[in-house]
Amino acid sequence: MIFCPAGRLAGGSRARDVLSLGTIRKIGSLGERGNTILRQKLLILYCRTPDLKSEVGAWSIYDATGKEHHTTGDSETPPYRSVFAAMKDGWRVIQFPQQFPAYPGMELNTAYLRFEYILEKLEEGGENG
Amino acid sequence: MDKQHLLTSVQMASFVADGMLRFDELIPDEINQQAMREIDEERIPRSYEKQGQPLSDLWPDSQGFGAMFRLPQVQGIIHSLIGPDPLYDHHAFHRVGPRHEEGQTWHADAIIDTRQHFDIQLFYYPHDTPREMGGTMFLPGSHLRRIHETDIGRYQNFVGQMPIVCKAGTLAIGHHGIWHCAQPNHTERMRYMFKLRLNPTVRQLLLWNTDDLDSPEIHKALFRNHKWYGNDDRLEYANRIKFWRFLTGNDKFDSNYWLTRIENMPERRVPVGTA
Repeated sequence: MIFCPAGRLAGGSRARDVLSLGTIRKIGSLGERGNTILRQKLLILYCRTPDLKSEVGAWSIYDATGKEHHTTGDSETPPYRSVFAAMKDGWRVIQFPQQFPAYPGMELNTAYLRFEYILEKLEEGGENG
Repeated sequence: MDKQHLLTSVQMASFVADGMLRFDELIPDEINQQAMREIDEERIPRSYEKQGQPLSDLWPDSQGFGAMFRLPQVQGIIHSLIGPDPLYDHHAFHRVGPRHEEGQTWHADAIIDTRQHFDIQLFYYPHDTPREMGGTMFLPGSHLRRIHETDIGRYQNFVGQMPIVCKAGTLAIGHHGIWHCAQPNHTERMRYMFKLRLNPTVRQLLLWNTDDLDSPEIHKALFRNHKWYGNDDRLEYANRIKFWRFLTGNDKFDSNYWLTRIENMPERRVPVGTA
């Protein structure tokens, strides 16, 4: 799959960008430095309401660059107050929660966190393979 | 059962709101030491005992784990929540090795279980558990959510999550639906936690010390918010009201009219022409 993101990538405008299995390989032109792998960092924010400016109540971070390691229970405060605050810091929203009416008879039930936003950044780093 | 060892209505209301209770340093050190010896010398089997047997038949000679759940204070807690003659469901010694850097995935135990009737699980910490040693992370208020086991495994952190950082002899009691996960152990020592699941054999109705059943503190405890709920908070209150009705037998119990309003479907007909 070939993907040319609108966002500016490090390395200059002559670079070709190839997205494959969650990574972007930036192939420099002749005379430039070699291949650079861009990997995904995912930030998942669970908001109070569908409003992107509403408060975050839960969060997860999955960093494929290897720069950060995250696991359950590793922080007490959300990394951002809201999805919108994360967007201002350069995170791109890649998935919005869909909204469905409650199934009949299940209107008062609760289960998973409903307002889940998935955001990404692409950064250099990590090992191949 | 001596009333002094039973839970109060306010404590029961806290259980309804949080899905858990904790009792710090409840178990005497002598029993804690014996319990650690029973682990080290493998005097209590790691494998399950016969499931469904009366708890009273379990480990009659144990000076550690058996003595722990036979303490009058622990018997009072068990009686308040699930009544007399509880059954043994299963037990487990959870061990987290030294320098274990990965937290366990968030989960609820067993399978999706939507009963109003509920099991309890005892989480017993026989030695000091500082934060760097992990402890179990609980999510207060998660017990009424209809999820199956590790279906919640994408989540990492919640506002209001509660690690059990405790001294030896601490006991946490969880509703069967409580979300929890073992935390990393950054120390050089093995960490132990003993878990025991129990089933009720009687209708769970006013089994605790009800002397304070009309206390205004009950309302405060029942309707404590948890910040991670977000917009679901009123739905959680509605489910707590249903739970409190189940535990007290009072089908009219309500707060802020949350359920009364949506249950109001009058059928009384006004005779034609009298309006």
